Order: sequence, then C-alpha cells, then structure tokens
Amino acid sequence: MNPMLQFLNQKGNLAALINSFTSTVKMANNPAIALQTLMDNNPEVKKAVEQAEKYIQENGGDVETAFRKYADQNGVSAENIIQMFKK
Amino acid sequence: MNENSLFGGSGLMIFGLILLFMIFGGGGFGYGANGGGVAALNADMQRGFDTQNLNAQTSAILSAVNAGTAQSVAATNQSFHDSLMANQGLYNEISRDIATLGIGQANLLAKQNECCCATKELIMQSNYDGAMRDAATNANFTAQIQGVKDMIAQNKIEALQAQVNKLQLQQATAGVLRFPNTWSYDAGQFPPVFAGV
Repeated sequence: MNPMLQFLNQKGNLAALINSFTSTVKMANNPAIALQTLMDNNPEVKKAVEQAEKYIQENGGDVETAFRKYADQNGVSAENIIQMFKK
Repeated sequence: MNENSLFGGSGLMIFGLILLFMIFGGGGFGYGANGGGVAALNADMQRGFDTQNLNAQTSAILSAVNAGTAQSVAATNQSFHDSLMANQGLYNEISRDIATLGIGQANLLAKQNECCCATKELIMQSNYDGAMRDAATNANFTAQIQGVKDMIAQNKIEALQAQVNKLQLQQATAGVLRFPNTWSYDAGQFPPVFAGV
C-alpha cells in the first residue's frame, strides 16, 4: 500500500475523509448536491474533481474503468476503498 | 443507511476516484508527486473537511432553524388567519346589524316624514277651511250689514219722502179754505136734519 495512504489509514484520516464524503452525501441526500457542496467548501476537492473528470474522459468515459485503473496505478485496492465507503 | 444505495454504483466510484486524486493527484496539487509533507497533507485535508463538516452542521442547523421558523411563521400566520376569520365573522355580523339598524332607522325616518307630511296637510286643510269659514262669515256679515244699511237708507228715504210730500201738500193748500176737521162749537149735524120731515 502506498506509504501516504498507509499513513492516512493509520491515522484514521482516510477514514475521516471518507466519512466526510459519506456524511455530506447523507445530509444532502443527493450525491450530486453533496459533491457540489464539497467542491464549494474545499479547493482540494474541487481540483481533484477536475482531474478525475479529465481522467475519466481520457479513459473512454467509464467511471468504473477509470477508478479501478487509477487505483491499480497507485497500488491501492479499489475494492477496499469501495468497502470503506460502504461502512 | 446503505451507502451504496445512497451513492449509487457509479456515484460511489466517482467519490472513490476523487479521493484517490486528492491523495495521489497530479502536478501542482502538492500532495502526491510533489509531496508537500504528510503533516501539511493531514492538516490541510483535515481543516478542509472540518470546515466542510462545520458548514454542513451549520447548514443543517440553519435548515432546522429555518424549518422551525417557517413552522412558527406558518403557525403564526395560521393563528392570525384564524383570528382574522373569527373577527371577519364578527365584523360581518356587526355589519349586518348596522345595516339592519340603518334600515330600521330609515324606515322610522320615512314614517316620521310621512307623519310630518300628513300633519302639514291637515294643518293646511284646517287653515284653508278656517279661511273659507271666515270668508263665508265675512260675506254673510257684510251682507247683513249691507241689508241693515239698505234698510236704514230706505227708511230715511221714506221719511224724507213723507216729509217732502207733506211740505208739498202744505205748499199746495196754502190760502185755501179748509174744511175744519174739528169743531169748536157743535151746531148740530150738517146738513141739518129736521125732525118729522
């Protein structure tokens, strides 16, 4: 696992980050609104969204394909991240 | 809550991809390749999400307050509306009463006017009748006076006429022997009537 990710996971920050995502979605009850809210309040999120959009377009427009590919490129288990979102 | 159903299949993966880009993002991002330091990453990300959480909580609180305020306003409006409707009902009743009273007053005034008019007519009739009676009385009186005057005048005329006649007679018989109407001495009857003849 990527050291940074490992560090984040150990510190619980990755979980905290994911919890922030999920709590925002819960509160908005709408992923699109939640994402817009995150972008409005977090420049880091906004930039990541822009990069993710670009990466998805570069990979044929399929979100799952892009997600799994990028996770593999960075040595991260896509399934683990999915499971963390589902917790 | 089932986050999967909340995210949807692709929604969850989008968030996952965003998460990965936040961690491993490209040049200029400062977290991944350039390595701005784990501490900086932790601090910045945590601050960002703390702010996000605070904003979300504030938003939730504001939403609750707004909802409560809206409910309070709605309840106040409803109460005001109900009060207004109740008052409106009372106003309607008062308006009807006033209208009824007005009609009653109008009727009373009409009757008063009618009575006044009738009274005036009676007065006028009475005055007329009185005037007519006076006129008749005057005419009668005048006629009687005139009759008396005429009678007096006629008596005068007759008296004067008699006087005139007398005077005329006197004038006509002045110096003429007049057969006495009375006797100073009694010579018997004339012509004398002889006894035994």
